[in-house]
Amino acid sequence: MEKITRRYMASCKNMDYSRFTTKSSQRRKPNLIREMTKARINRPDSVFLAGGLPNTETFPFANITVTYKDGQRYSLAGQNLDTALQYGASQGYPPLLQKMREFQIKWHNPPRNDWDLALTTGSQDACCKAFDLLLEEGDPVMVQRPTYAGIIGALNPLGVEVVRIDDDADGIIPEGIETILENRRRDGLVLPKVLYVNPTGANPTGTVLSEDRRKRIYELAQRYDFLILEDDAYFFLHFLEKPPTSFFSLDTDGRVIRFDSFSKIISAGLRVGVITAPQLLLQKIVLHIENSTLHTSSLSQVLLYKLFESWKQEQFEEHFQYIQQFYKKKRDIMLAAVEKHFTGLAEWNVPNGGMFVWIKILGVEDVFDLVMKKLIPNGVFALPGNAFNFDISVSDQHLRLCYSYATPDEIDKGLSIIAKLIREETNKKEKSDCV
Amino acid sequence: MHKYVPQIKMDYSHFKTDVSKRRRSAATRELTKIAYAAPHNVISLAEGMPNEETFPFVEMRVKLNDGSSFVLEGEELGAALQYIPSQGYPLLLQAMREFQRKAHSPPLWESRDIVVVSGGQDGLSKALEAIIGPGDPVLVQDPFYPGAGVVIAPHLVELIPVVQDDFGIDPIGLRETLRSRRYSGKKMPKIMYINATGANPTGTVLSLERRKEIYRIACEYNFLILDDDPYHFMYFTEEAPKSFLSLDTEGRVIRLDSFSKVLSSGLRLGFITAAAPLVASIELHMQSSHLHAPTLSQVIAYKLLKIWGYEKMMEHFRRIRLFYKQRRDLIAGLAKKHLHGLAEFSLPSAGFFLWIKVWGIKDTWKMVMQRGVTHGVLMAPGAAFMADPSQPCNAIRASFAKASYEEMDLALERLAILIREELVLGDSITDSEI
Ligand SMILES: Cc1ncc(COP(=O)(O)O)c(C=O)c1O
Ligand SMILES: Cc1ncc(COP(=O)(O)O)c(C=O)c1O
Repeated sequence: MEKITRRYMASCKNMDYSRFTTKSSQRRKPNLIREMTKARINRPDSVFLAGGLPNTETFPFANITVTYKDGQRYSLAGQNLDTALQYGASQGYPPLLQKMREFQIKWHNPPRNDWDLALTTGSQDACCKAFDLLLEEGDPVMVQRPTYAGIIGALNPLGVEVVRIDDDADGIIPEGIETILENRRRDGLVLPKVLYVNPTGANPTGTVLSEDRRKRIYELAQRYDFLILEDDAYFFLHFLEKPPTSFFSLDTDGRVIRFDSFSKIISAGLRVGVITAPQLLLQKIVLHIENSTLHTSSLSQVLLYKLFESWKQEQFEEHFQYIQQFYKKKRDIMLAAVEKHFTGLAEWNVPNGGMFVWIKILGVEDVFDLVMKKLIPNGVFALPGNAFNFDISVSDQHLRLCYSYATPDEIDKGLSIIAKLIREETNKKEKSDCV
Repeated sequence: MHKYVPQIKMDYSHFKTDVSKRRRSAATRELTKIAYAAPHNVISLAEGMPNEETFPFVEMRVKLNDGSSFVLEGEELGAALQYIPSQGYPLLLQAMREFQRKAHSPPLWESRDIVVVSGGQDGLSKALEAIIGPGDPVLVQDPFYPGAGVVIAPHLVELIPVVQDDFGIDPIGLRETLRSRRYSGKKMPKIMYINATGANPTGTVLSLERRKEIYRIACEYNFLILDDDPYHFMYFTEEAPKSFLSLDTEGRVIRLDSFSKVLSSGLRLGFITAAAPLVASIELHMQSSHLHAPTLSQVIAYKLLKIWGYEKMMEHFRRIRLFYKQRRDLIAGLAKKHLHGLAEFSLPSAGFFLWIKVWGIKDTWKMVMQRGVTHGVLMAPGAAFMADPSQPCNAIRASFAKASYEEMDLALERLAILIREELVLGDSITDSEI
C-alpha cells in the first residue's frame, strides 16, 4: 500500500522532456505499415493484407533445439519457431518485454511507474540511439573519462562538445561535475543536458561508483537538470557483497535512461540489450528502432525468453553468483600476476567489477608505440589507454588488461613479456636521459 | 607477370556526409578484427570479450525442412554466442562473397566488399545516413517503400520523385527531371533509391534496357544507385532480372540484399555489397551502433549456405518463386472477381504486393485507415507510399504473401463492400459540402 502511494506521488511530478530532445528526432515518423500491425492486434479477426510479412512456410527451418547447461532441453517448433523466424514488434517480443519489466521492478524497485523498456540489438545500439535523440551538434555532454571506445565512436561523429568527468578508484567524482558546471555557469556557457556513466565495473577502469557518490550525482542531476545515461553492461558482474544501487532505482524525477546488456552474462552474439527510460523518451527510441534495425533478432529474443522461462527463481541468482565468482577468480589471478610482474613498474586499483584491470605504466609517457611496436609483434595484445581518449593522439600511460578470457598461464606469460618490454623501454630512456 | 586488375576510379568523399566523414574506428572493434585473424599462439588481454564458458547454452541443433540438419556445439557454438568483427562472421562473409560473385558477376569485383547488416532496413538506414545530409536532394521512385522515407524524414531532405509505369521508373522522365534541375541551378542529387525487382509497393520489375539507361544517367549526372532489392529472386517473369550491381562498371551501385523474404525475417540479416570505401563507412557506423548483426543468425545462415551450396540455394529460390507466383495468381483472380468495375490493377511481376487503383475515389486513406479497420480488412493506403503523402492517392497495397485463400477472398469481398459504401458516402459528402 505504501509503495503504491509512493509511486503515485512520485508520478505527479512530471518532467518536460522537449528541452532534451533534438529537432531531428522530433521529425522522426512512424512507418505506417508497421503501425498497422498494431491495429491488427486490436482486431484479431480482421484479415491482414497490410504488412509485408513473408510466409514462414517458405523458410527452410523445421526446428531448432537448444540444450542448456543444466541439461534441460527446449525445442522451438510450430508456432514458437514461426515467431522466432518472423518479423516482430519494434519494441521487442512481448513476452520477453513483460519478463524484463518484472525483472526491472525486482532488481531496481524504481520509484516511478511511468517508465518502460525496449529490447535493442545490444545495449550499445540503444546508447547510440539515445545520443541521437538527445544531442544536437555542438551540445555539451558530460562523459566519464576514460571512456569506453564504442561511446567515443558514437559521440565523435555527432560533433558534440565532450565534457570529460574524471574518475578515481570510486568512480566519477561528483565534485568534478559540480566544479565544471559552476564554472560553465559563471562563464555563461550552456550547461550539459546529459551525463554518460558506467556505474558498475566501468570500461576500462573496472571501478564501481560508490553508493554515496551515486546519491550525490543524482542530486546534482536534479540541481543542474541533466539526464543520466546509465550504461550498466557489467551490473551483474560486480565483486561486492551486495548489488550496487542503480541510478534507475534512485530516479524520483524520471531523468535516468538505463542500459542493460545480456552480452556479458548470457551471450554477446545474440545481440540483445535493454533500454529502460521514461515512456515519453522511450517511445522516440522505439521509433528509431523501427526506422533502423526494425527490431532485435526474433530468434535471439525467443531463445532468451525460453531460457528465462525454464529457470526457477533460484537459478537466476545461481547464474549471477556463478558469473560473479567466475570473473572474481579471474580477476584475482590477474591481480596476482600484475603484482608479481608489475610491482615497481606500474600503479593500479583493484577493480570491483567488470573484466578489466587498468594499470598506469610508470616511466613510459605514452604506451601507444609500446603496444603497437613491441607488444603486438611479441604476440601479446593489450589495449593502450589512448583508445579510451576522445583524442587518440594524446599521450596515455595506461594499459587495459582483460582477464575474462586468458588462462592463468597466458596471463602469467603475457604479463612477464609486457614487463620485460617495459623494462627495456625505461632502460633505453634512462640511458638516453644520461647522455 | 603483373596481372591488370581494373580499379574503381570514383572519389567517394564527395558523396559522404560530414557525420560519416567524422567516423573513426573503435580501437576495441579493430582488435576484435585482429584477434579473429591472429594465430592461436598470441596472448590477447585486449578485447573485452566475455568468456563463453559462462554462457548457459551447450548445444543448438537445427533441423531443416529437407531433412538435413546441423549442430552447433563446442567452439562453433562459442563463436555463435560471441562478439565478432563488425563486418560480419568471417566464414559467412566469405560464403556471401562467393555467392554474390556467382549470382551477379559484378565488374570490378576486387574493389568491392560486403558487410553483413541487421536486415535490409538497417542497411538502408546506414547507407542513406552515410550519404544524405540536411538539405540534400534524393531521387526516389514514386511510389516507394516507406521504410526509406522514415530514414530520410529526420534529415530535412528534399525528395525528387521519379514517376513509374508498369515497367518501373521511366528513364526519359528521370533524365528530364535531372536536366531541368541542372538547368535551373538546383542542388543535384547524390543518390537514387530504387527497388529494381518487385518494387514495393507496385510489384514492377525494371526491364534490362531501362536498367542500362538509368545506369547511364547515373554516370552522366554522377549519382549513386541504392538498389534495395530484397525481391531479386522472387520474380515471376520468364527471365531472371539482371541486377544493377552486374552492370556497375564505375562503382556507383550500393546493392542491398536481405534474407528476410527467403530464409527468415526474424534472424535479421541483410548484406550490403558496394565499393570497398563505402562498405568501410558503413562498417564504422556499425562499430558505434549495434556492433554487428546477431552472430547466432549469421552462423546459422553460414551453416545453411555451406550444407546447401549455391545450387541448392537457387533451387530453394525457385521453389519460393513458384510458391508466391501461385499466390499472386490467386489474389489476381480474386481481385478480378470482387473488384470488377470498381478498380484496376496490373499483374505484379515480382514480390509480395498487388497495387490496386480504385475508381471514383480520390483518396483511399480514410476508407482504409478508419472504415477498413472497423470492417476487419487491413490493407495499406496508397498515400503512405507517395513521395508527397499529403496528396490524395486512389491506390491500395494488398499483400498476397501470407493470407490463406479464404482470407484473401474475404478481404477482397470486404474491400469491395468498403469501396461501394465509400462511393455512396463520398457522393453524400461532396453533396453536403456543396
Ligand atoms: C560500457 C559498455 N557499454 C556497452 C557495451 C556493449 O554491449 P552490448 O554488447 O550490449 O552492445 C560494452 C561492451 O563491451 C561496454 O563495455
Ligand atoms: C523494399 C524493401 N526494403 C527493405 C525491407 C526491409 O526488410 P528487412 O529489414 O527485413 O531486410 C523491405 C521489407 O518489407 C522491403 O520491402
